[in-house]
Amino acid sequence: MEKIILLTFLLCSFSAKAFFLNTSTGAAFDNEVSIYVTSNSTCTNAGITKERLLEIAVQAAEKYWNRVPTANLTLKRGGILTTTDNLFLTGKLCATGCNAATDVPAVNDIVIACNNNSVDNFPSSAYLALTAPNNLSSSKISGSVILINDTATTSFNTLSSAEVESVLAHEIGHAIGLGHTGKTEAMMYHLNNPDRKKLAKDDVDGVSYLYPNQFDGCKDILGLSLGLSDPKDPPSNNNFILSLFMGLSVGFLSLFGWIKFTPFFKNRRRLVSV
Amino acid sequence: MKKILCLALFLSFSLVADCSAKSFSTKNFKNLYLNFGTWQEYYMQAQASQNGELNSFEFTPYFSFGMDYELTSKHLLLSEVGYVIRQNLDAVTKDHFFWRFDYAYQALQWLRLRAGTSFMWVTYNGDGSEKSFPNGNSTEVYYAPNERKNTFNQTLDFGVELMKDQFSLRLGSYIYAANEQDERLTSFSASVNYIMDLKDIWKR
Repeated sequence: MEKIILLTFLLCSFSAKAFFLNTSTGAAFDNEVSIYVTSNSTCTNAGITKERLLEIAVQAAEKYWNRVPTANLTLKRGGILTTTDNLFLTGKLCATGCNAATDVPAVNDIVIACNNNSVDNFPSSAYLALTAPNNLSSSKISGSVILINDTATTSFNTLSSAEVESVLAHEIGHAIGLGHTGKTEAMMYHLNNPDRKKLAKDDVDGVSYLYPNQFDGCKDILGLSLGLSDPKDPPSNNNFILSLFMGLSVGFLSLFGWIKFTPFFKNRRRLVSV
Repeated sequence: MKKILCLALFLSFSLVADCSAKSFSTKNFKNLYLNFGTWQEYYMQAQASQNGELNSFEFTPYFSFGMDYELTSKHLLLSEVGYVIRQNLDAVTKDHFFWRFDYAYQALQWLRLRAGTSFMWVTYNGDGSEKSFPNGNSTEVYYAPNERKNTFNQTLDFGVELMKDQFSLRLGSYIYAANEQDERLTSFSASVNYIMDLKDIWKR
């Protein structure tokens, strides 16, 4: 019987979880990130307006990445980023050691631009978009750029709205620190999926790894429950209930252990009953 | 509003604790449970294929143990600690521990309804290795995690338990982000439980 149970464990415990990251340091944003589209993005060849691009990007963020309860990440609408810098439209996208005269400028948050550089960024129509965190230090991303293929041969203009949403969700995945995966059903698989409905478990694990929910139990118990917490840094209600539950569980088990194993309590009970 | 809610919760639990303490007896710890079953993470809520199918049943074993405290013959408190067996592939491992605290109502001799909350602790680790994946017309190197990270969650749980002698079959649901409609995800579990009377254990 024991052998059967052990064998079952060994055979059945391995299912696929295989997310990869953009950087070797596992770089990630802080927990709140805004999405912008540059004001000079005309996106003529890509066949989309900057307002529509922003709308779909925010929609993609909310539909996919903002819906992971095990991750502490909020992507929100930033708006149109006013700029006259033509390097967003023509520059090369680079992550480190960039040349300020020729490369796309470093940004804060997530900035989307339509780019027509067919030499460095989009050598073929196979590339729909290109993303890189271009403002990062060690394990922190301060800014990422998403470039939409706006070259003359782009096939971005043939995509349906759902496909554009899927492409932007994939690129936002790169922007927040995720790399490609070998799982074909995942958002971070390298091919665009027109039948995208949800994130795969692989994506959920990846974003949960980069943006984990923290536990700040003692502070919550001592702070919020007694009304003593700092209003500038209020702990989440989720953490409060969690703390309460933890406290009750610990109390419940400790009480049991104390009663079962402490002779003092047994003697005291006898005295009380007398 | 949040403070009022918290204060109400705090006072309610204090009251319950006070009432329980007054009638507290070690004899009310009745049973010890050993559970083995399958954990269905986000069942039918995650994409499982390129053509849009959602994830269906897959056997992910878990085990847990716990015990109950009988408030009355029909009302119980249960506490339980569990572990979903390590899931891994390539360079990433995922371990999932949980701690449940439930209230149970013995509706019939063979039927128990449960509601409560769990503390979920998921820990990821990786070996930091590199792997190349296609990217456009070429390939690009990506990286496995190189450090351990933990994510914590609280779930709202509902379950039903069918009991027969020393065994029971339990079906449970664990709702993540119960108060956030957009973020809500539910995991499920199905397990077989072996029930041991604590009196028998104490006698040994």
